[in-house]
Amino acid sequence: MSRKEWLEVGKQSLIFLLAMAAMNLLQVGLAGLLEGTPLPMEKIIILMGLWLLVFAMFLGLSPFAMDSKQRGLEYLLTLPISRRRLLSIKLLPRLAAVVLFYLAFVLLYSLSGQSPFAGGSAFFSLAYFALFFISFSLSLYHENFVVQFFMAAIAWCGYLALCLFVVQLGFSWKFAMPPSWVGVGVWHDLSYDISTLLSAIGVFLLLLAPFVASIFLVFKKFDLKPARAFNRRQLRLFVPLLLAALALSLGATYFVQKSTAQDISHSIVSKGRSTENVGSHHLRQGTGTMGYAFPDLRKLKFKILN
Amino acid sequence: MSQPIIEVRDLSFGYSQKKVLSGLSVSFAAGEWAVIAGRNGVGKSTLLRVLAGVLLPDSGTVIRSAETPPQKIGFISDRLSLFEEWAVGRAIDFHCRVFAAGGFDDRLLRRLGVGGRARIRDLSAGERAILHLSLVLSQKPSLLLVDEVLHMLDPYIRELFVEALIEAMAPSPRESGTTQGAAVITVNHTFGEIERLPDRVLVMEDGTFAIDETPEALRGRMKKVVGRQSLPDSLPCRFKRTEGDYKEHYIYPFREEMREGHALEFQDIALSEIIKAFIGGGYEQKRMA
Amino acid sequence: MKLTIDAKSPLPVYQQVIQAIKLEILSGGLRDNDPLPSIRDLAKLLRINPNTVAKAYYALEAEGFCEGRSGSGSRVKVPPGRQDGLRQAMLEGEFKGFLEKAATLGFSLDDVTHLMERTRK
Repeated sequence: MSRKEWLEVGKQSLIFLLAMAAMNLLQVGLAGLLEGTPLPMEKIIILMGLWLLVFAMFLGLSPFAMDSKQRGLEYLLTLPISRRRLLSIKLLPRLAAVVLFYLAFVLLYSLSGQSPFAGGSAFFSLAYFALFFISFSLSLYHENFVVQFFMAAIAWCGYLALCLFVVQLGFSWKFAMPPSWVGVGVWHDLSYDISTLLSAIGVFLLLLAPFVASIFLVFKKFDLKPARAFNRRQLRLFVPLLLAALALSLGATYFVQKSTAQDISHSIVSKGRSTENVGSHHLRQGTGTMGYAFPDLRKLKFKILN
Repeated sequence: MSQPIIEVRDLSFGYSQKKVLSGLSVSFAAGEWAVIAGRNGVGKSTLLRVLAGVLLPDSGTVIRSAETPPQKIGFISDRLSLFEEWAVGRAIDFHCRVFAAGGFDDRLLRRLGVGGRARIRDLSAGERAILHLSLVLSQKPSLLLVDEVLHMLDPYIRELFVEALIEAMAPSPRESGTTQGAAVITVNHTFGEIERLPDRVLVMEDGTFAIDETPEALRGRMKKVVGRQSLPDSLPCRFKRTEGDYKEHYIYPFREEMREGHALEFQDIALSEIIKAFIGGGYEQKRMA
Repeated sequence: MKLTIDAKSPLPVYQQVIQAIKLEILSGGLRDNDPLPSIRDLAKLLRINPNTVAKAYYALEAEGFCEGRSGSGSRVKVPPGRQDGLRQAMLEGEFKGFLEKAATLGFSLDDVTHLMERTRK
C-alpha cells in the first residue's frame, strides 16, 4: 500500500519539477525572443516560491482525490489496514515531498546569493508547511476539487491572519513594535530576533495543531457516508481545539516576549538613540535581501555585553 | 453450532435523517450460504457494507470471529469498486500483496480472455465482476460478502461466477489447506441460478429481518391460491394479484391445518416467487398505511 | 448419471439428490465400489449448495449406501439384499404419485388398468 502512495507522489513531484523547469525555460526563451532581459533572480525565486505553495496545496488536498470518487475509496476501505495507518500512509510520502522541495528551494535560494532566512522567509517557510497540513486536514471535505481548493485557501488565509495577529499581540504587549510592522507588516520579519522567531514558530505550530489533530482523530470513524457527517464531526473537534490553541499561544507569546522584552527594552533605553538608529538602519535596508541574522546577533551581543 | 463467523448486535445505521437499519441483530455460521433479499433501498447493501467494515454503525456492534480477520473477509460491492486507472496485472499484484494472499488463480480470467495489461476501467461489467471475484478468492476467505452483481452479468459469466462461489464453499483440502469452506452472504434480487443454493433466506423490511429461515421452511410458509373466487378472510393473504378474472393470492404465513379447513388448492411456489410476493405485499401495506 | 434438481418440487433438494443416487445404484449405473463424485464436483454440476450434497452423502452413508474415506471421497456400497426392497419402495412411490394424478383427472382404478393394458401393447 505505501509503495503505491510513494509511486504516486513521485510521479506528481516529477511532473511538478518538469513544469517548473518548463516555466523557467519559457520565460528565458520568451525574453530572448522579445529581446528583453530575463527576470531577475529575485523575481524567479518568488515565482518558484508561489509554485511551491501551489504544489504544497495540491499534495495536501490530493491524497483521496486520486482514488477516483467513491469507487476507489470503497475499495480502499476494504483493505486490511486500520484507518489510522491508512492516513499515515497517505501522509508520509507527501510530507517527504514537501520537505524535499522545501530544502531544494532553500538551497537554490542561498545559492543565488540570497540569505534564506531574511525578510519574509520565515513567514514563507511557516506558511508553506502550514498550507500543506491545512490542505491535508481538509482533503476529505468535499468530492469536488475546486470546492476543496477554495475551502483550503480560505482556511489558510484565516489561519495566517490569526497567527500574525497573535504574534503581533504578543509583541505589542512588550513594547513599541518595530517600524516595519506598521500596517500589518509583521509577516515581514518574524525573525526580528530569536525570541520572536521562536515564539512565531510556536504560535504557528500551536494553531496548526487543531487542523492536524482533528483529521487524525476523526478519521477513525471515516466511512463511505456522505462527507457532511464526517465534516460535522471534524468541525466539532476542531473548534474547541482551535480555541484552546489560541489561548495557549497567546499566553505563550506573552510570556516569551515579556521575559525577553525587559532585557531588550533595557538595552534600547540605556543605549539611547544609537542602538535604535543602528536597528532601524538595518531594518530599512533589509527588505527581502540581506538577513536579519546579523542584526539579531548584534542585538544579542549588546544584551550580553550589558 | 460453533461460534458464529460474524455477528451483528442491535445494529443501527442511518444516512443523515433517514434511518436504514434499526436494532438489527443477526449472526451467520461458518460455511453457510445466506441470501439477503428485500425491496430496493431497504438497506441490504448498507448491511453488507457494515459487515465489510466499509460503513461504520451508528450504534450496535459487529463481532467478527477469530477466523475472520480483515484479510479473510472478501467483499464485492455492487459498484465493483477497484482502482479504476490501474491495469489488471497491477491490481492483482497489489491485492495479493496487501491481503498477504498465497497465490492468484487466473483460470477464470483466462477463460474470459482478460489479459494483465487491460485497464480495469475498460473492462465490461462481467469481466470486472470475475476479476473482483478472483481477487477476493485469492485471499482464501472465510467470509464472502457479495452484493447484488449477478443481474449485471451475462448468462455465461453468471454461471462461472456462481460455480466459483460454490467452489469457495467446498474447497479441496489439497489446494487450500483447510476443510472449512467460506461462508457466503449474498444480496440478491434475482433468484434464477441461485434458487437452490442458499442455506438460509433473510428478507429485510423496515430496518430488520422480517424473514429468516431455510428455503424449505420458507416454501412451507407461503403457498399460492389461484382462482376466480375471493379468498375467505380467515386466510392471511400477504399479496394479491389480479389478472382479469383470475386472482393470485399468496398465503403467508401458511399452516398445514389450512388445507383441511378450506377446499382450495394450495400450490407450492419457488423461492423467487415467494420473495417477490413478500416484497409486493410490503409495498401494498405501505400504500394502504 | 441423470441428475436434475426440480426447484419447484416439494421434496427438499438433498432428498432429491439421495433419490437420484439411489436410483442410479439400483439401476446399475453405479456399481459397488464406484467412486461417488466429490461433494465439490457434484455441487458444481448440479449448481447446488455443497452443504446440501454433504447432507445427502451423510444420509446415504447412514443408510448404508456409501462409505466415506477421507481424502479419496465416498465410494458406493451396494447393500446386499436391500436392493429389492428399495426398488419396490421407489416404484411404489412413483406409482402412488401417478394414481393421485389420475384421480385428479377423474379416472377410476379400472380406467388406469385399461390404460396399462393398452400401453403394454
